[in-house]
Amino acid sequence: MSDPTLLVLASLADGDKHGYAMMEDIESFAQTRLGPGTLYGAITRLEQRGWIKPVAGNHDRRQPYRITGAGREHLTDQLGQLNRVVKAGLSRLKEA
Amino acid sequence: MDRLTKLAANLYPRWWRDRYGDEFAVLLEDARPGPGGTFDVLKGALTMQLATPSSWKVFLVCAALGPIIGVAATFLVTPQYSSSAVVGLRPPQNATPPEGGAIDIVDVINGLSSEVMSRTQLMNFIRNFDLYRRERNQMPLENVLELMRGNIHVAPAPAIVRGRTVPGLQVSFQYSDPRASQKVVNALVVGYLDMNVRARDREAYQRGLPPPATPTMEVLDPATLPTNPSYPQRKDFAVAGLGAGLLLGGLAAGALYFLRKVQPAGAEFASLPEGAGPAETLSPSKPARTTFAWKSPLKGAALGTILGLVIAYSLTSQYSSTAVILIKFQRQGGRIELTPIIQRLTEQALSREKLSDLMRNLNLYPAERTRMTNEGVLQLMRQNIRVAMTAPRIGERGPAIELSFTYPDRFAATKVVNNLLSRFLDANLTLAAEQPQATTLTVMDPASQPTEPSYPNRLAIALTGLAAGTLLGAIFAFIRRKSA
Repeated sequence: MSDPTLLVLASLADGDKHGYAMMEDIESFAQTRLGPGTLYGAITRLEQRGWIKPVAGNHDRRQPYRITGAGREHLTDQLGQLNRVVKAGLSRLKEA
Repeated sequence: MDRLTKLAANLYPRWWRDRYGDEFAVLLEDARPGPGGTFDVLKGALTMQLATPSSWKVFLVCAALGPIIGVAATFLVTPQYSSSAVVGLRPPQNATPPEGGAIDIVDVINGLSSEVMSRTQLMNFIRNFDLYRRERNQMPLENVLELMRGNIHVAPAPAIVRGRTVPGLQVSFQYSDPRASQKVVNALVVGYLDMNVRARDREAYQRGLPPPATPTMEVLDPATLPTNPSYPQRKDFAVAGLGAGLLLGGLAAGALYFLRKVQPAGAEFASLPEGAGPAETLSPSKPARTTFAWKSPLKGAALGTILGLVIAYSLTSQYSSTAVILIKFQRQGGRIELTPIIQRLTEQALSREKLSDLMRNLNLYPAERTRMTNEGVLQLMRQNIRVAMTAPRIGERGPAIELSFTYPDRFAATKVVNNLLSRFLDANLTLAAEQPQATTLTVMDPASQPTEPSYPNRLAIALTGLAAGTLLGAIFAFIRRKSA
């Protein structure tokens, strides 16, 4: 899975994170290190679509983000599709 | 954060830096990207720049695309080749100054061109050299002749013969086939020489002079076989493309600047209140409409075009037949006022009785005659008859009258014009009997048989619909955007 927007959504699925925390988290669960430009490109697109939002509050310069309801729905939908592809692929590999 | 990464981060659009610059700088400090990371930042900045249109970017892209499209268009246009020949003129042998010293080359061109480039001659060229094959299938012969006349250029061109400047005329013809172009120029030159000899003989006969007073013509440069196309000129197209690109780019950039003033790029992010309220209230669950609704102009364009086509096809086709009468002066010298003569001719030819006869004989306007008065139908017919003075065309000795009639039945339109033509000539004969200084009318082009309707111009109506629809759609989208 290499779609940065999906990786960011997956990273935020278990709680709010700022950019560097997302980068580290994604590397740990997907073994992919997103570059800063790619990460913030994905953050920009996700925020424009209303799938994530910045968390307000008294924090330092690191801006945390939170997944929205729409973002969660989108992530569920995408992962479901991916799951079906994975299952189909694995079962066909077994049959072959 | 090294200098190179900082520089790459500065390449992001301003609105993006305003919104994300601070947190992005912290990320770069935390992540300490290597060369790969710097490249990633640079790639992200360029992607964001491309995704964010700005006035200067639009202007530059248009200015760059204009010449490219211009040059590309030259490859779609059929190349045209221009062959040319130069014919020199020698003064008559018996001429004495000032007559012999100066030849009025324009007078010579006008005197001979009407016969060299007459309708019959040009039709012969078209038939013999198989010219304008595609155009002949697409448009009426009259239009093909007009097209050919437009591609023939005859202009004074002084030539140097044995170190002496002699008056001359240059004949050129532009066509898609270089060999056909050369053949036509050769034929035109032969035509000029032939007509000149005839004019000399005629003059000698009329004046009873042994050596003719008309200048002698000789071919100085025979017709060239063009090797390079004279059209399209890639440089001209590129320059025109650049001009169009700059103009369109300027307009688009201005429009974008105006839109940006109303709604700056990324304004939906920049306007977030700082630390206000709970997190859930900061970002709306459904983003408000802040982008320009491009679908509206597109829908408007489609609807406008459809409406235009419906209107165009619901209108009755009108065919226009045209004839041209050449006016020749009987009296040499002096000034003849043509307008009163034409008015008198028109009054006689288009009198109430004559038009009524014509309407009855050809059974014109049957539907209108049942629901309108006779005077009303006559008025309608007069509106569809056009009598106009036209400027002398190349090679014509004097002005001409263009006579045309527009009617839904093309055969009836031709019959009416032929009839009017003979009435004009009759009226002129009557006038000539009364006034010896009257002009002579000669039919130059007989009534044309229209094949294509002159009205409605369906393409123009559809394009107008397209333009109006796009404009209305854009205005609608703009108003919606502002109100949102």
